[in-house]
Amino acid sequence: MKHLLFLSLFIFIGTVGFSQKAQKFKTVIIQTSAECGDCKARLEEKLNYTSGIKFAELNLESKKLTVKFGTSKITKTEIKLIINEIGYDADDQKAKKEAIEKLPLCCQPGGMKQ
Amino acid sequence: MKQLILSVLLSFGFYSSFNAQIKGLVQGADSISKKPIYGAKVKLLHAKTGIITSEEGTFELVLPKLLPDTLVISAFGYYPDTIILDKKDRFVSLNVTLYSEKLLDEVVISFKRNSHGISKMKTLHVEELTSAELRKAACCNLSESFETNASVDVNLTDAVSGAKKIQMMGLDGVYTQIQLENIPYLRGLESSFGLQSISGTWIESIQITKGTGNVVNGYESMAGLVNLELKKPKEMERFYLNVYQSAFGRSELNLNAGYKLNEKWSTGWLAHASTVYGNIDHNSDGFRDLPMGDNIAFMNRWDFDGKNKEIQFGFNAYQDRKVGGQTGFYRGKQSIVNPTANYGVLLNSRHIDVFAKTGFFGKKPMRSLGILYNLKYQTMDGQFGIRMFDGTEKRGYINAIYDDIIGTSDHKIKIGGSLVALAITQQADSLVQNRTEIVPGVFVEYTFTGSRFTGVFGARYDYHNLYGSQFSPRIHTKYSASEFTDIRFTIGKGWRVPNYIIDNISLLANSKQWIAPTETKPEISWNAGTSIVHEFKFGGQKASISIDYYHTRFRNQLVVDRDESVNAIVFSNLENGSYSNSFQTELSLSPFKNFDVRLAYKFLDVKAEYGGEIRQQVMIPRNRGFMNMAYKTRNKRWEFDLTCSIFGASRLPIQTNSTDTTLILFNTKGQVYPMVNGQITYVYKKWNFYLGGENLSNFKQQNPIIDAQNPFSSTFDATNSWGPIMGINVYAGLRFAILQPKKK
Repeated sequence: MKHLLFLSLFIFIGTVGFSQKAQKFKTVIIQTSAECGDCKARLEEKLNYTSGIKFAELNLESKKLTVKFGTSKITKTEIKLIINEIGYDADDQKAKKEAIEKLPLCCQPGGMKQ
Repeated sequence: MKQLILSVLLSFGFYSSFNAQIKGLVQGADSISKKPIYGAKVKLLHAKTGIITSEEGTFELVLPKLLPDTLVISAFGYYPDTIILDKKDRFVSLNVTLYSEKLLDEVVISFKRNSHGISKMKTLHVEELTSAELRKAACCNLSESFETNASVDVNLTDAVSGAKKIQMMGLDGVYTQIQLENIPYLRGLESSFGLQSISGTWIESIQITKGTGNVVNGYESMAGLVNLELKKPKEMERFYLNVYQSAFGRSELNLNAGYKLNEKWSTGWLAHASTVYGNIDHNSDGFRDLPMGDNIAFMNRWDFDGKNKEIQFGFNAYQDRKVGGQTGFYRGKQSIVNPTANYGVLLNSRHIDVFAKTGFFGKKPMRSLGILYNLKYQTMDGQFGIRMFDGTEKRGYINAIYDDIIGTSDHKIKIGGSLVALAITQQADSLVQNRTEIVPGVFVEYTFTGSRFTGVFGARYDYHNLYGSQFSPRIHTKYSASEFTDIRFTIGKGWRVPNYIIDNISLLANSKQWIAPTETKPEISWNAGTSIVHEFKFGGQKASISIDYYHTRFRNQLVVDRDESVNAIVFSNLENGSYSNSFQTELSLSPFKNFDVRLAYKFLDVKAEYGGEIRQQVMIPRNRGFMNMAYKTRNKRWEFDLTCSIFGASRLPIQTNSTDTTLILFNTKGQVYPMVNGQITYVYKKWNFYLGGENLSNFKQQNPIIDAQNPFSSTFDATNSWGPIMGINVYAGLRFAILQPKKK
């Protein structure tokens, strides 16, 4: 009986990770100016810990960022602003200059083509 | 489109003239052939230096002082490639393949770092487990680090000590050489219980080589070679904390810290403490399912990175005390008047280990001299009921390796010598085995690197002061049948001097008399094997399949015969009669994004003459199935892992029916049993929280101890454990890490 309890507790906690509250989600694709794997890690880490964002994933080949977010908590424009603040362009919104300068050389625009 | 296949050929040569240099070859590949590219641009981004490749496609570049730097390789008509170079790449010569822009997209493989995989570049069949793989299970210590792996089996040695031993190819762990950063480590006294002396949080990665390893590392790898790389002071976490608690009353605390003192010096501190306080007897046989006890381990290491030399040194100390046996037995509370009031198991082991490594780079490229030094002192003592044992070991080891190339880096050579000085004493019951060993040895290893064929040809000669000379040749080859298929072949000899008392100390957990071998002879084996690894695409994701087969044949083995007699365990030397066949196939797939599955099947045919008949080795299941599933959510916050193994029934030693007054001998088998482990990890920035379960199917061996009611009787036997003793275990823990600040 005790083991059963442990097992059901284990399964319960497992399923909690997947369960979601009823909420409206939207998935958008944003073109960024990311350069390398470092940029990918930087963008994903920041966005994945931003409240309202379910996940953010960068395709390094196309530089396209897929973001799924709850529409009641955050907007696409706000997400693009966060990307600009990290130092990258997001669609037509340009990155902040000071932020670009803080990036390592290889992550700055054209860093991989010099 | 910058992710391209890049191949970095590891060469142990340090590459340096007055400044550190890097050398490499750039090749271009289209759908038909691969040829050197003339005039490819090779640029260092930070240093803003660059060069153009020669007609042969080669380049040499002076490395800047400030590393890491990014190397960009580009050529007209090809996709460019980038490589991050850091200081340790002075050891590396680069072999870069650029892919033609004419190639279709699917030929260009995007690069993903797998947490588990067989290295494509190595000539030897080496499986690598990274720290990401180790995070999939609790991995409190080394014996648990192989849970998510099918090549290495970990088994309980008996039902009372809680000790675990590894097996490769169905052969006992003593035939696998375990080394700590290339220094032979868990051997001699620690071959039985040493796996618990290394905390899982110390380990950076584990390399598992099947078959005999390189001759450079010594003569003792017979079935396999397991190398442990610990966390390096330069790259390890600034601060790392791990806390673990299991439902069975096991608590662990791990603390690591690494500091870079300046450009040259760095130091690392690794500490571990654990205790098992739960006095648990779920199967109600009067015996603890898991021994109680405590364990502490500590390590401090220092690294020096100079212009022309590198030095590492450090020490580690360890103490483990276990109290097992009947639940009423405690350390120091044993009655002297009535020593058989309670059956008790005590195991005490401790060691202190000092090591150093020095590396000097030559002025000519690819030339270097590396020397390893190691001093170790260890003791071990304890008891199984009224049977006492103890042992001490002092060991000194030095190994010098000179690296060079012959003409070009296609021909590499290593020449060196080693010296082992060892004094070991062992005692159990009234049996004693003491000896002093002095073993000087020399070795040479030649590596040929062609475009498709790579071969490592090595040989070593050792002179043992007691057992004379031994010559051990070893050959490893790799042939790339295509871009995605590698075929490997290996053959080689290994040998060791057995310590029959310590190697089999768990067999004291019964009342059977030990019959010692008439003489100690070195154990000698030949191992030959082949493997095919093929990579392919499955549903747009990378997948691979591997098949391997190895045969080990002993020219001489110290056989432990438990079938000869029901009242005794007979040790004897067996010439040309013992062998092992091991077949394994493994499929790894990603059916959908962030979900990885690995399936494996293993067949073991391990035989020798037992009780006058050729039989399968006891406790070795002939079949094992394995499945590991790993899923990571897209926001990388949750990780789910599940490992299921099915072990076939294994043969048990001959037994007598204890309930009968007349002696009936019978052969029995264990049962087929599953083992299911799962873990959920939640990642939040610097924090990791994990909750896991072991043996979730709750399978338990019935009566793991024979005649547990009469532990001092002649029929008592706790050495027939073929399956888990404990049921479901639940554990939880957390990890907290502050990384080293990154240089801009």
